[in-house]
Amino acid sequence: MTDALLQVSDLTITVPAGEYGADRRPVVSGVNLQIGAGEALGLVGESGSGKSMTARAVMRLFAPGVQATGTVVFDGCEVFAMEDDQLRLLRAHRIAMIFQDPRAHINPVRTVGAFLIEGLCASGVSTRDAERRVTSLLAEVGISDGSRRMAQLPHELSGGLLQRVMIASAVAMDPDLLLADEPTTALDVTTQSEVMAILAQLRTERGLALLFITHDLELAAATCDSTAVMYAGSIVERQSSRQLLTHPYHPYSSGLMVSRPDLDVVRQRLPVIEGQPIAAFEAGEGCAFAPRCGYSQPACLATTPALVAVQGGEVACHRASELQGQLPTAMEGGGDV
Amino acid sequence: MSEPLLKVDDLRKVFPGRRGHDDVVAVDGVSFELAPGESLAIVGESGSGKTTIARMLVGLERPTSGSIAMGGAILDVSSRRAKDRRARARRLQMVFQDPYSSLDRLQTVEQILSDALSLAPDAVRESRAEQVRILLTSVGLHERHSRMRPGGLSGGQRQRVAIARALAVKPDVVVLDEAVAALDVSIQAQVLNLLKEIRETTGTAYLFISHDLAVVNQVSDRCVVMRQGRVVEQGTTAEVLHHPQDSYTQQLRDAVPRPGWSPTRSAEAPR
Amino acid sequence: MSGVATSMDHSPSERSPRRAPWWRRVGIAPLCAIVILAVMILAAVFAPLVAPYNPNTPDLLAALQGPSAAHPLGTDALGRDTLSRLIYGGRTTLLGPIVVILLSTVLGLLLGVAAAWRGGSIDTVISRIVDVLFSIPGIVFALVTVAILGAGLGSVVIGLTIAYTPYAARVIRGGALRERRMPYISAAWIQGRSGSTIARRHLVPNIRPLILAQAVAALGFAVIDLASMSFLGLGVQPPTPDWGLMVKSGLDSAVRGQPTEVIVASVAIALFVGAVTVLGDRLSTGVNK
Repeated sequence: MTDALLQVSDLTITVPAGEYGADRRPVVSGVNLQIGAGEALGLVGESGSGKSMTARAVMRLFAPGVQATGTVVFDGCEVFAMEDDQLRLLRAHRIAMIFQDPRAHINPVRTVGAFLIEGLCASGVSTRDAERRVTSLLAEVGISDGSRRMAQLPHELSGGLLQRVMIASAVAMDPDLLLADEPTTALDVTTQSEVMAILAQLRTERGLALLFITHDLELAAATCDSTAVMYAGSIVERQSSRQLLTHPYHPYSSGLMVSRPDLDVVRQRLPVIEGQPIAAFEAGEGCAFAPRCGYSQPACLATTPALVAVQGGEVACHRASELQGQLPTAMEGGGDV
Repeated sequence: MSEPLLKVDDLRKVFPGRRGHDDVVAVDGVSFELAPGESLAIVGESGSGKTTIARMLVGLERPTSGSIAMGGAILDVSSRRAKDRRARARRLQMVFQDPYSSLDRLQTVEQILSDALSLAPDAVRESRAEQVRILLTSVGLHERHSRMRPGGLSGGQRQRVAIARALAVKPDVVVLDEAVAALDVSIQAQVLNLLKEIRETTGTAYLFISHDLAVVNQVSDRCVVMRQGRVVEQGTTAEVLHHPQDSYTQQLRDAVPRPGWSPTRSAEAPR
Repeated sequence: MSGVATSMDHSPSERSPRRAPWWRRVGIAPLCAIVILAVMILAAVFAPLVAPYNPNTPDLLAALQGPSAAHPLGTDALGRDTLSRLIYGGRTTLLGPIVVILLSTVLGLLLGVAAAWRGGSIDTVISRIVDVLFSIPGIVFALVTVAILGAGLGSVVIGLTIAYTPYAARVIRGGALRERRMPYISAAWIQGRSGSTIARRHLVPNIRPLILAQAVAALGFAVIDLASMSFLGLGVQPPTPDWGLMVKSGLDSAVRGQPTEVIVASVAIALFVGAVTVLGDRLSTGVNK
């Protein structure tokens, strides 16, 4: 575990309050995670869970006013302590990120080709070589008429195509870790399948590690080696994906799976997690999920549960040993969680 | 044989192309029927034309050709006159995808629902305020929400207000255009349950536009699968989803993440 | 509709936090600007109560004096108290442009919303008219109306109103086009509300911040234009006190060795325009957020 490619310890991120008199608000509290070389970790959460902020922290991508404490160690180097030029190298060569809306992250008045070769040329590769490498990259992501596409402007490409272009640009510099923030949320389900398959292929070919942010637990579990579930700024469970799908330890993970409609079975009423997801600063005393939890007891509201190891993973739940991972995973009647 | 509640016949919509581009045929000869109290889903991906159909039904787009009939009588969906639109609104309502921009952020929930209620011509015993309260509780909200503005409500709550607004006039059909797509997973389940409950109580028919097959399975009796403006397959939801006739429908099914699934690449070149 | 839904959501989701009062939120510079503007406008409105002297009473014995206890800002060539003329001058210098902005904003609103809402040929016609009006400098309009109607505050106000309408129309049209595409407008349309009702009840209130920002920003320009016209002798006529006129007569006094009047009038204009610009800028940032 100590030689993990990425090690995040006790990450806490706060944002300006905007509230008169209040100091700052936490949006991520005390997150620990690690990713080994070539491994994929899915980070699942709803609104306010802090999953996006966590991913951005890995590259120290913070909006003005956002502060973070804790440590992020990438390949032995402490990211939060890096000088500017070290950080630039990190972002250019070691870690890459793709986002939900590719159109917001590409210059609309420059050609796709210009965008793709920019990074390579900046690191000294000749234009001709860069173009050649990019064309073969585009073929890897399923765009066979690369030279035609490279001459086009971003608005001429569909969302799915543009996301492939983003992936190509992300792996062009051969990074060790790819951060993907909801890359398929805005795509059709068939395109999503394609894009995830491309990512899987690139990963095995290049030994690329992946941190995959999504709200879709089934998607994360199907495509990543392990999956972590976040709620109100903290990780509440992390397990190997296969384990999570069959034996979730946390009532929230179970609730997410159970309340999702099924492709084959129609239920009279979907089991529901009452209430709404909250952000870290809205959490009260004790377990943040307790007010919504069907298994909560008075003790749950007293102290915040810590992440403890269970078979194959970790969970932050006072009743984990009691419930022993026997929580429902799918369509068992129409009761509430 | 009684008349279907809603009958769409050979509907077409062509958007004129911009300079140098061809015309876009968004909807290419689509026909389907909706029985009273039924829930029909229109499933498709982007570019399938499903949203354009929804917009044509409620009068936001004018069909290029084809007809829409309710209860046997052809609807003049092209008329822009307020009187005609009001007449249509009493029978056909819509819930939009984005809960954040489908409510006027400057109005209180009370004002939003009052406006909707003023459309209904029936003389009622209750006062307007009482009608608003009844509407709110019927969508699972509390009376105190009536004084709030959309900004103070969560996404799920806003969508409930949007549903209440659609139901205010007791329409025959509510068109739901990806109405749960923008909601968190745990909230989606709440709203889907609500929609089912409302249909059971009031017998309102739903036209449920969605790209999400699992949601479609949960909420609809019958479903129409569309691709690039054409109907690929239609039938009961059970038939279409569990025994798809068309390879595209099968493709859609195969692409849904679930335990045991892994993503696959197709041989086709990407569009 | 029977009773209470079993799928309920009563959570208190008042997510908007308690915010600081507006006077803390705007920032130091806009706050100073508001204070300056308030002082100037109130002084102009309550001039008879505030000014120490009658602005038009000449006193040739006291002509061309510098600042003193009796006349804090000195006197002009006819011995009139500069401070009093400054206070009274605010009435034409400031209130004239306010009328220009009010009228041009209303006209611009009507044109802009009509163009954005109706679209098609109406939009094309209005946009082309606005484009033509844009190509003519504002001063030219004022000159033309002065030529037709004669010099005076009224003619200049009419001319400038025509000149400023296209700016408001264009900005408002842009904002209205954006709002019009929003689903809540579509929802109102579906409900069968008439176009004018939707524009009035939904569209315009939602672009109010934009309209306000544009109006405040334009006010600064209107003050300069009006003062310039008066300076040229085509706007406010003497003996009415007006900052533009004071700049002109002040130049004569300066040549004769007494620069106080021209300095004071120029600074007053600059201060007002600067304050209005800072405020307009702050309002626009609020709009763009």
